Amino acid sequence: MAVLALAVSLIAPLLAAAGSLAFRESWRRSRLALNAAAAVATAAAVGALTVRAAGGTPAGVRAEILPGVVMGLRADLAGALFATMTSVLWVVTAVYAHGYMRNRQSQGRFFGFFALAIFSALGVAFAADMLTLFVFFEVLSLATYPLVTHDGSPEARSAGARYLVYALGGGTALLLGVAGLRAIAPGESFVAGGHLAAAGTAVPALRAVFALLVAGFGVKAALVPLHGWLPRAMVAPAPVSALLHAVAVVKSGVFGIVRVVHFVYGPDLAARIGGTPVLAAVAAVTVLFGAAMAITRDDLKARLAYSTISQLSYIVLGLSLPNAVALAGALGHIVHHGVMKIVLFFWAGALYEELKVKRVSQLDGTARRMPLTTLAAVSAALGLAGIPPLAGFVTKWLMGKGATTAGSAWATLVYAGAGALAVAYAWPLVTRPFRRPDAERPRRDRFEGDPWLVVPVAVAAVLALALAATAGADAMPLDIAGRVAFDVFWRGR
Amino acid sequence: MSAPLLYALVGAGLVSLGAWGLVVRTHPVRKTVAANLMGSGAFLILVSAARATPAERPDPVPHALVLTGIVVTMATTAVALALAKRRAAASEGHSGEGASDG
Amino acid sequence: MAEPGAFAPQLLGLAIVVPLAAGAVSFALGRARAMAAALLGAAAAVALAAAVAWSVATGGAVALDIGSWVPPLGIRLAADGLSALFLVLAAIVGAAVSVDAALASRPGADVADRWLFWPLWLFLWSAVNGLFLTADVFNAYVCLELIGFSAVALVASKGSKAALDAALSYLFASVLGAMTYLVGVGLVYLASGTLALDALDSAVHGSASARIGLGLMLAGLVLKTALFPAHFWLPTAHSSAPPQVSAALSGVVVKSSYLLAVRLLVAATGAGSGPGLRLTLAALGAVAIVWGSAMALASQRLKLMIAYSTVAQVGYLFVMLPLLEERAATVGLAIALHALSHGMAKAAMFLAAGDIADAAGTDRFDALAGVGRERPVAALSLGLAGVTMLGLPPSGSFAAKWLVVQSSLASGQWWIAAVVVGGGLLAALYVFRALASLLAKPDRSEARTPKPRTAWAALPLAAVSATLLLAGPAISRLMAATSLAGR
Repeated sequence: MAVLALAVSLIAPLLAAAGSLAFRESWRRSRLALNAAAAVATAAAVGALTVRAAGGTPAGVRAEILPGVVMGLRADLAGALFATMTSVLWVVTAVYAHGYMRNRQSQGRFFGFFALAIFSALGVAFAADMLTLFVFFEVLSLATYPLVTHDGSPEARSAGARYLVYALGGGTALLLGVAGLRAIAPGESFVAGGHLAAAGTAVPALRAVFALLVAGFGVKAALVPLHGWLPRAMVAPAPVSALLHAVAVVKSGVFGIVRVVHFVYGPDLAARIGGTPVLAAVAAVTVLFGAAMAITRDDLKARLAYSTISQLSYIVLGLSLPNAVALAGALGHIVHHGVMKIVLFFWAGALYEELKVKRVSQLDGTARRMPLTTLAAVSAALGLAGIPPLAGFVTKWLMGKGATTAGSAWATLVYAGAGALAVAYAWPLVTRPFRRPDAERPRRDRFEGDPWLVVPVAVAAVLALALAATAGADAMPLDIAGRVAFDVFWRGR
Repeated sequence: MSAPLLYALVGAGLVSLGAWGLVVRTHPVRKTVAANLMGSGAFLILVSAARATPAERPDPVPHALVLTGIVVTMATTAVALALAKRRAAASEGHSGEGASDG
Repeated sequence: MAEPGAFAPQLLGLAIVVPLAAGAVSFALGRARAMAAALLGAAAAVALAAAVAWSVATGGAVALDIGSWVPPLGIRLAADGLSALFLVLAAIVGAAVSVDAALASRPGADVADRWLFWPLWLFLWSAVNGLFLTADVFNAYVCLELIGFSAVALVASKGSKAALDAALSYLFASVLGAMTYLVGVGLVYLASGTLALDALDSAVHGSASARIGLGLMLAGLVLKTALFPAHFWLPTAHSSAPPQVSAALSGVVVKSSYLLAVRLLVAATGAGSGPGLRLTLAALGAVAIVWGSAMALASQRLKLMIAYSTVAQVGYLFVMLPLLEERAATVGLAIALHALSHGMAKAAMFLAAGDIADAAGTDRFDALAGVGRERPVAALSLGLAGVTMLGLPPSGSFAAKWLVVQSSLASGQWWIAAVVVGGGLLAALYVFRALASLLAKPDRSEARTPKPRTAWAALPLAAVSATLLLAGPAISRLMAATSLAGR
């Protein structure tokens, strides 16, 4: 039964992809129905798997695909966390994309590869070992490429080329890292707390493999200096930027790092070989760099992109600290940030669709034109800036607290500094829409905008608020994150 | 020097000559002649292999191989000449049927 | 099911004879019915390949002594796991090529007087099967020549100057290779008195003339497989032919002489010609990968790019050889995976390129803007085939790359891993260049004459090759019945 849920969670998006590609271009409603149904089915399946995982018996399946090469899936708590976020947000995004892509071309290709990307992200979440994760990770890169270049414009194609270069480079590093890992510890799957310590391998080899794996994942996780592809990739249509580049693709990179540090090496070994200290330093630089760049960007999507770069490294910094609370905060932030960011990207897309607004400097007066959407966006922006008691604050607080407990005062300082910078770049997003515009905008007949765009924004914003409100409750993402952190640090001791 | 060895050496010489001609010459007919030469050399080597065994009767297997080889070489020559003829016709006037280039 | 085991050896003979007969019948029936007869023959050939594979998978290697004459006098046909897999490759590519050619013959499609394609194509298929199955080195020579004739005629079928030039060049290269091989056979027979493949190693051991003979045989086969620097004939031949022919040539034909070369190499291990020879071949393979990729990138035409990609791909097959000594089973599996997935992907690429050239009127890159939108199936096929070219998961070439990287790291020959990984990145350059030119926005919407789409056969071919990792267990099972360890 549980294996069935596992199968559904992967086959549904795959079917949606095939169907979307095969349907005629004009069959828009059928395509929406297919994708929405698949998204709901996937979310349900993932929910069932999460319950199983929480009960202590995660569903899994393994196969020897080639002699001596075993691959497998396993829906443990960490994977369930990532998968839940992805699948729930897919439902919302499918609706949004239907509205956004309405007058654009090649919708079949768009929805098809979108669903394929979801499929690969779920595969990443449920991979039971590094090789399987690598396979799905590469498929993710491939599936998202046509989405980045969707427009076909020279800008899009150049962004796509850059994306590819980064992805292939990262993929090569990963391939070598995974091969090296197999050489050290053949046939091992992920174990909370790591399994490498028992192998007794020489430190240089451990370091090399760690570096390769983290570098490979770090490209998608936008660690400086591997972040260059992300701002350019914002040329993609808003639903792509929203779900994939704020939620699924970049979080896959972060998730990969989580697996490396806590499910292969284990926090102790990673610290001992000097891996996590270096990682923490790189993350800290990225946090501050991203936030600083965000302040200087007038283009709205670019500002959000750099904010993503910065916030991703909140997570990476948190998970590099030798502290369970920090890890819990980091894992929780994966979800909280994802939900908040998606609201903001949806908002950016709606602004462009309705009012042709692309820049922060053009935001004046938009609140009057699109009040609901703006309200949703403001709540998300405040959350991003870490204003209590919103979702972004909760997880940031945990990470900062964990840093202090672990004795890494510098990390706490970084979080504090980042918080200040985040307020700086989020502030215009919160205040400008309410300012009186210099020139009066032409009145339009309808209130707000396309309902297909507004409803998803509102729903996502409500989700973010719910996450904040229920932060302490059982079965919420933060609780699951806490359990994962507990397993990592205290199981098998 | 025994007869089979002599034939084999001559065969080797013909093979080398033929190979050289096949590679160096540009005109298709010359290449075809060179290929035939090479083939004849190969057959000589095979025939000498038949006689090389100190037994009474020559070994029939190489003879069968040579017969097959002669047939194959004949077919090759036919194909080569037909192609060469077509090619010559093509460069003289119109480019022949199916002129869409690939 | 009644004793498949007893019937299995006959399948080997049928796999050669049935396409041959179908070709003859197709020729006799003339223009009107040629295609129908040929398609029936193709279907039968596919079924036979599947039957042989099934038989080997369940019962182990199969052998047939033709006419019950025992080697060394008689000719033996043998199918182990590797042969069966190549047979299956020929079948899959053959099916796609046949379907594509049938689609291209629809009224309204721009096709010259090409009913003769069908008998020639079936003769080619039959000869290729023969080469996969033969265990007699002279029989192999005959098959090599038969392949040569059919292929040359098919290449020339367009009738244009370029096609005839390419065909002549191909013919002479083929003849040179086959003759060299024949001389080698003669020398080997001189020294050993046998023509059977399995008996070669003991016969070759300790005899100088036999070693020379073996070297000549390998040289001839290397020329026919177009390993650098003997690749000069391939780019023009494969790019000037009709797309279905190019697909068959790049996808299957180059693999046939390769298989024989590998068998010879393995058979000769005992003769002490192992390491140096394999290393040389591997070095040439590495150069082929770099050279082929560079030339592919420099090409101005899609089909020429694909043909050069074949040159690079052949390099992969040879670069793995040094690892055979220590890790025969793993590397044998890698060879099978690589040959299968690249063969299918290459065939798909040519079929897709044919469709694209139909739509655009030419295959020059600068004229292809916007065609990706007109021919989405072809573009998707090209993209999926690109996944295989780059060695990305879940393709079979990724599986092969994985195995090779593991083996080469374990045996200390790091450079092979580097070459294989680097080759994938090089392939990325030219594959994405091709895709980008297809998907570019056209400067102005030209009124192109709508021609019927024919890329449907390419899509499943590309899709299978891009997901071949999933067939890993089945392929491994077949390979378990193979021994490439040498003696």
